[in-house]
Amino acid sequence: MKFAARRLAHAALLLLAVSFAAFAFAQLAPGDYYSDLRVDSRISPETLEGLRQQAGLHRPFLARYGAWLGSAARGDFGYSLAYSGPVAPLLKERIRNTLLLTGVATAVAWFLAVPIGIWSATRRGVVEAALKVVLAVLLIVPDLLLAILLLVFAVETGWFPAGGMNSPDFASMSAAGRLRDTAWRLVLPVSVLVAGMLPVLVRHVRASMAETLDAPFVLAARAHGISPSRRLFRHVLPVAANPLIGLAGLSLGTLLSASLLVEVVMGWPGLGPLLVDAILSRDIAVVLAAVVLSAGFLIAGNAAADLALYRVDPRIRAR
Amino acid sequence: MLLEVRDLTVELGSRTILSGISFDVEARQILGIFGESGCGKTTLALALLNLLPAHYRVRGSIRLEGQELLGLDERRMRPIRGGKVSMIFQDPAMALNPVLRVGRQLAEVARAHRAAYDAGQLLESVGLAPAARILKAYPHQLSGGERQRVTIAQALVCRPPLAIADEPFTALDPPRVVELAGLFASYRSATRTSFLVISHSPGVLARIADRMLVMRDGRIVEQGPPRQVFGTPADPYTAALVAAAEGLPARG
Amino acid sequence: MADTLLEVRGVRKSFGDTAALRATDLELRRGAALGIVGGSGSGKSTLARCIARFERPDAGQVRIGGRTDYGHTDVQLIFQEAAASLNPRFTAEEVVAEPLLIQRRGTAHERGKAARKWIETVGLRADSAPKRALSFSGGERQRLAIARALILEPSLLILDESLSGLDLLLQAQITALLLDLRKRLGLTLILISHDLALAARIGDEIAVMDQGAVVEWAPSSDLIARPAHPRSAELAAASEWLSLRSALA
Repeated sequence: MKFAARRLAHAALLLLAVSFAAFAFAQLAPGDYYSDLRVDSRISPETLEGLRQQAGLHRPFLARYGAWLGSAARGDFGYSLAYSGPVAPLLKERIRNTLLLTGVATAVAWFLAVPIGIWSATRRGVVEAALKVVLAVLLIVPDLLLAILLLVFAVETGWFPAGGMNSPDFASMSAAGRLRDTAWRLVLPVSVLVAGMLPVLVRHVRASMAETLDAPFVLAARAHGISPSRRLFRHVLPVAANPLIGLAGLSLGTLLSASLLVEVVMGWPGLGPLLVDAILSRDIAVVLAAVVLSAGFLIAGNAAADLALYRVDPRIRAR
Repeated sequence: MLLEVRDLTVELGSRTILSGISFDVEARQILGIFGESGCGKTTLALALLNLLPAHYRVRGSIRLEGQELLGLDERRMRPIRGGKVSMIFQDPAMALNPVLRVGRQLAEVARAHRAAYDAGQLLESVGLAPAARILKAYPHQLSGGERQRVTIAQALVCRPPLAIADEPFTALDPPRVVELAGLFASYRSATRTSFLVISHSPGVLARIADRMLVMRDGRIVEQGPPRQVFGTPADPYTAALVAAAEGLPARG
Repeated sequence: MADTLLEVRGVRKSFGDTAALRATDLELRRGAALGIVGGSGSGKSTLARCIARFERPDAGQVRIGGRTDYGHTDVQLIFQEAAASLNPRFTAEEVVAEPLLIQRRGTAHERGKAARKWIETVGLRADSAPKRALSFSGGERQRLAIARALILEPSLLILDESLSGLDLLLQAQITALLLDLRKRLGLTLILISHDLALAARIGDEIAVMDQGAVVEWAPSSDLIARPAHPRSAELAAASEWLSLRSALA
């Protein structure tokens, strides 16, 4: 219990530091939300200054940071100048959409990576070599490029929608219809994300499996007459799973941040487009909230991995 | 005759690892195999269980209770491994699964052969007590000596007629070596198990082995009872070993 | 030579809650050879590491040649698996000369010369100096480890289980080498081992350690013939039982 409390305190401090750093970095960029308006000659400098004062942008750095902290504590997470309201409600729906996308993509990636990795570790030969090449190619091709290629493919063939999460007539569909519609629209962006995640995951699974398969206790199990399938699932996998649990925690941790660029390109209404807009228009409160939340997920993911490892590996429990 | 090995030859690429190995093991016998590093003794042990990787070329004959083992496929070897002949690996820390409890690891062997066994009695027979603590423990929670005995227990779960121990004494302090040697001897007397004990300590083999082989560069250079092999060595290599061994005890 | 080379007074060392070494005293004359025996956890390795400055004792003092501020040129420690600790890609000459390089002694030419001299001293051919370490056999690499330890010409050489687990013939050869070096160079030796017979072969005197303290100290032959402490008796009995001579008798 003491262990958990310490981790929690540590995490809170970390989030605080992240928010402070993000705020500070935002300040480094010249200008603020109203800077662009300066170009418009119809708006007088006095009006501009008045707007700025109203938004509280003239106050010193620490005061503004303090104000944001207070707002975050209240649950509003700051005030968005672009949307003229508290940030929190803006985020809710966006986060839901992002998590849907990344959740499905992560699940698919792991679902594919584990069997492929296991298979790849136990075989040599042409097919396995070809697999390595395919995965290497997927690793090299940038997400962005793949996304654009798939969009082109979608437009050319018309088999998949070229963006967006819901069809225009979404609201009037039945529940089953909505499910199908969303699933259909998930295919392309999920494919891009999976293509990015798969090579790394497979490599880790394969490496861990290969290393474990070489261990003396596996040969010993064979020497005791234990069948190959039993050896694989009851003797090898539990040991090979350890490093993968840490990786799974990391996967959890990047659920919010992994898909931002893909969302923008493929028009998925998640956190990505919101964040990009906020950055470009310098709507600091939104940027901060998104950054801190992503950091929060990462920390939680790591902590979950540590906890899982603690429960699963008896050697760690001994220390 | 429990085990008959005739002209066993193992080659890897252009290297000959074992050449013309021939020996017998009777029931209730301890056969000692003495050899230094690189003589092929571990390869021999693995060959007897058909555990050498596929790219090793194995020729000759290995007959266990009259059945020829060489050439048997995995499926037919499986009931034999652990059931008729079992192996005690060299490093107990690495030979045990780190995330499974001892009791589970023993049960796995029994399950593979659908054998019944009494865990408490088994552990007691290898000098491990109280059984409850050992069965519940993970390997890293045990001392080196205890782990050693667990690997021996694992090899004896199904009461095979032959057990092969690959350098079981190497990691132990001399007093523990004496204990372990005694264990092999008493086990042999109490049950019908024969042991093939590989060691590079001539003193131990002289004490517990009924017969022994001296291996060098993949061949057997000397065979016979320890008294004969070490007392009146026929081969100069054996003679050199004896001289080295006798140079070690203290002066006075 | 009756002067004292090594003095250990009241040295203690704990790791967390475990007392690895309890107040230990030791004295060794220059040119003497001492065997320290005991089981695992007896504290013998900890003592060696404290003497060789790999650990800082929690209490007590170690003096070599009367000084507490001695260094790697006064005492060298060779570990078990010494042969495995050599960088296999280095040449033999590089391996043996490395301590000189680290201590910044001499020019490259002088270092090479010294290395070749020591390679020969440990029984290898000087012309094998440019060969890569991995092309040497295990036994030859063991000799290289010894040469490397001796190149700084320490007064005290400690071997921590360096001979354990070696093949019989190799063990005999390295033992003979060490005895020869001791005679030729006046080296002071400490051999740490769990094997009493081996320690007695190399050491004039033996210190038996148990649970962090020295429980008996006697000349080798005396200890084996008439061990006083139960621990010594246990080790002596095991050693006797395992000896080939007695097994065949």
